[in-house]
Amino acid sequence: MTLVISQTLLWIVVGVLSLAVLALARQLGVLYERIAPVGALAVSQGPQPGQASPVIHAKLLTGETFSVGLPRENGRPLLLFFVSPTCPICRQLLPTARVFAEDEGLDLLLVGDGDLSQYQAMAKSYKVRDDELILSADVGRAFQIGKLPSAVLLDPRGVVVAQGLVNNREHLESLITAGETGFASVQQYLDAKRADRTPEPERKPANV
Amino acid sequence: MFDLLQGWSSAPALVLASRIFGALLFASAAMAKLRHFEEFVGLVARYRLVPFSAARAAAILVVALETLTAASLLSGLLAHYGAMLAIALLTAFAVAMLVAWLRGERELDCGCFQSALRQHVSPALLIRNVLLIVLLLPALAAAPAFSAGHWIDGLGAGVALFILSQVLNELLAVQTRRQASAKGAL
Repeated sequence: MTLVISQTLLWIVVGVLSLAVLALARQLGVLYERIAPVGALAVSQGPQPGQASPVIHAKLLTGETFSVGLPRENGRPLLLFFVSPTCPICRQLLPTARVFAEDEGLDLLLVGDGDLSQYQAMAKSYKVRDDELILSADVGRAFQIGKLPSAVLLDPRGVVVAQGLVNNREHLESLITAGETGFASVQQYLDAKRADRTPEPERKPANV
Repeated sequence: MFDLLQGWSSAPALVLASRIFGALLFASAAMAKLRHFEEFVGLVARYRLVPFSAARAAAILVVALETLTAASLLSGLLAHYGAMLAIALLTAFAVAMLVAWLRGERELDCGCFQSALRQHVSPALLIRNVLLIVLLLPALAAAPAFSAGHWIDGLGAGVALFILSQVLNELLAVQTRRQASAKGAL
């Protein structure tokens, strides 16, 4: 009996210790997530913030032609969200992007490139309307989208407000704040902050 | 191999620990996949091992097989086959990752557990799968009668092993994140 009790106690201790290690490993992960870029990673290619968007005519899934980059009749900004059905982060972010666009009063336009049937299947499972999705390699090329999911925010006149690689809601929100703060990207903000500071002397390794 | 299995039959705590570990492992994997199912479908499509139109069916099949494995190992019903299925699944996942890796995919999420826990396919994950298979080998042994003492050791070791395997996953995910932030892209 004594053996049974001591054995049980030992396993409980092992279990608790393992949980403690797991908690520590999780914290480590959280830490890495925190120090990751908090804004959309702007890419230096393609139309930059402040520039007029290229005007591209492309077909919506409904068959109507939509002109990206022209002034918008309804006066709402347009969020171009570049997606692919085979990109897991795109799928994860799609519902968030829709809620986000709704909250912020933006019109959302999904831009894809590739097999129509794959996009139709994706549109079906995410309840994307046919007038929210265009398949056009030209749009992606014009904005020089290299990685997915990417987003470009156009103001009602068709001027690029912000653009970049987006991985979560914070990144999407940073596109809006870019318009409000005047910093188009996290890089710009950090550069501006760095320029403010007096140059620091080069760090030397500490003597051990 | 067969002698070894018979040897394990005489160590019931080991058999029990292996079964409980396997059951927890596959139950957590199946649950995580169900929670992020749409994403998992996308991932299966990204592996490009099945045509896009079959990705959803393949994803359902994977989750169903994982659930079946967990149920069998936990209940002890046909646990021998459950263990075989578990090892077959782990082998199949390893092969799928290897194929993707050889194709040059370096940033493909393995899709193993929670999708929040992003792990890129890498040789480290292959080694992890081999380790998991080794831990599941004792579950192949025929079930002897379990005494209370066996249950204590089996349960303790099984649960501890499962938690430690999750630690390993977290650390592998941290490695992925570190590489990603070093490259400046998330």
